[in-house]
Amino acid sequence: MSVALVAARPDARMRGLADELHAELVEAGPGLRLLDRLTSRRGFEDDLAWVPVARRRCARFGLLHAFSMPAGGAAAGSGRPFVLSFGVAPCREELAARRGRLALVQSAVRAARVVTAADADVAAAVERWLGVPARVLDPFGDPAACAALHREVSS
Amino acid sequence: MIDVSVVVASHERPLRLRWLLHALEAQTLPMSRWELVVVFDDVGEEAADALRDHPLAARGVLRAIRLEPGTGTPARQRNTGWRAARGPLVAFTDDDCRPAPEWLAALLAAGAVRPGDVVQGRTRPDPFEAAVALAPRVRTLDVDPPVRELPTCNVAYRRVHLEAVGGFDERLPAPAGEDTDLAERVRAVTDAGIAPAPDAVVFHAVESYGFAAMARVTWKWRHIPFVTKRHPQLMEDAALGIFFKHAHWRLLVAGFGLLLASRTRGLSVALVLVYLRHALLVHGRRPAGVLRATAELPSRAALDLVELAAVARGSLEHRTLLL
Repeated sequence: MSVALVAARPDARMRGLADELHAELVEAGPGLRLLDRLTSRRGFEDDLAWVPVARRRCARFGLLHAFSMPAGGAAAGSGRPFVLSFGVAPCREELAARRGRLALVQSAVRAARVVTAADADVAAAVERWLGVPARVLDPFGDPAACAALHREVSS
Repeated sequence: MIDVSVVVASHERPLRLRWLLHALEAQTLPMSRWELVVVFDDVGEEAADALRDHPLAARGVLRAIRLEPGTGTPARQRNTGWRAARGPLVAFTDDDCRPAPEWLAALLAAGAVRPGDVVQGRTRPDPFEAAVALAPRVRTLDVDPPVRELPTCNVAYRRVHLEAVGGFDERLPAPAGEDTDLAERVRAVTDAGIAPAPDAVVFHAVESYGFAAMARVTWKWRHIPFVTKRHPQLMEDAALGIFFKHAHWRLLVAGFGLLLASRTRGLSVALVLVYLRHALLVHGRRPAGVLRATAELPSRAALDLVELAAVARGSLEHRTLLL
């Protein structure tokens, strides 16, 4: 089974996790990042321009793991099964604070097979503000559990 | 004892409804003094789940009434809600709103000062969603009380007012004018004035739409001539006595100017400028604002035309004159 971690701007931790899980990364190229800087100034969600590109790339994989709302929107649009992970607690101030964000949030949360949260507080916030239960799982802190979740979702 | 009942009509906005429930949970008015009645007609189960599982339901503050999916109009839902409510004051807000924590307390305080009047709070575009306002087609509300139309996002009627006129007119099928119609009937029958409550703040969602979706939303204004025919006094506020908005007569003048373009260029340009002068300054006089308004001009003009057509169609249907 081919697994991809979906994140527009993966940091070193994300690259390390991808190596550990033998997963590929679906990330934004430099051209899209420049476009994103322009659209962000007009109030659009970060990485929104990357979403349609990422959606097409995501469709090549058997399982996706999304780490942001634009990543979740791309994964949802690909039609592939995916896990959506929250590293920080969502809050009302942020959920509709950018153009296009609310639509991404709703599509990602509805389409995700499993939603995970980094800790119990984050899980409580996900349930409170988005109405979905989240499993407590920190992919970076426990890659083995993350790999087991991938096997579970893809089986 | 219940001092105020909050009534919300909800239709296919489960996430925003959830956020509204959280905002109401944070009210400073003790929960023993108010109740919430939500009337919804959603197809899916998201709203039903949110209403069932919310802490307000566990505390006995919230009651949910479900109508057959797709059968609820705002008027019908609100009537169902206030008839099920127990408070002497009935506060309405919408499922795309976020009342500030002091909202209910401020409505009650203003209502106590003028006990026979309708209480109207202040509505502001939600500052949490300010970036969305940069979109070319945006729907939100900004209301400083007192405003004659009394939009239902932030208003509180005495129960006796609603009983006196039978509540909202359910013949009005869309959220367009049913609030104004109720306000005018209550005013006529009960002689109630408007008690402004500027400290009772509700934040209204800021939502951007694509052109087609915005045109569909705009088409709802075809019901407005029904309201102005029923309440001719509303025409006192009409632009030039017959227009729903100033943009409508300016658009007609500009259209006439375009028709004359082949004959008298100077007059044609002058007539078109009647519309452009306002349309290009909607975001202010600074170059960036004018540039933005210029970029939005085709869409704005087209939507003004859709709205004009909607109101004109309504005028034909109801045999009245509002454009």
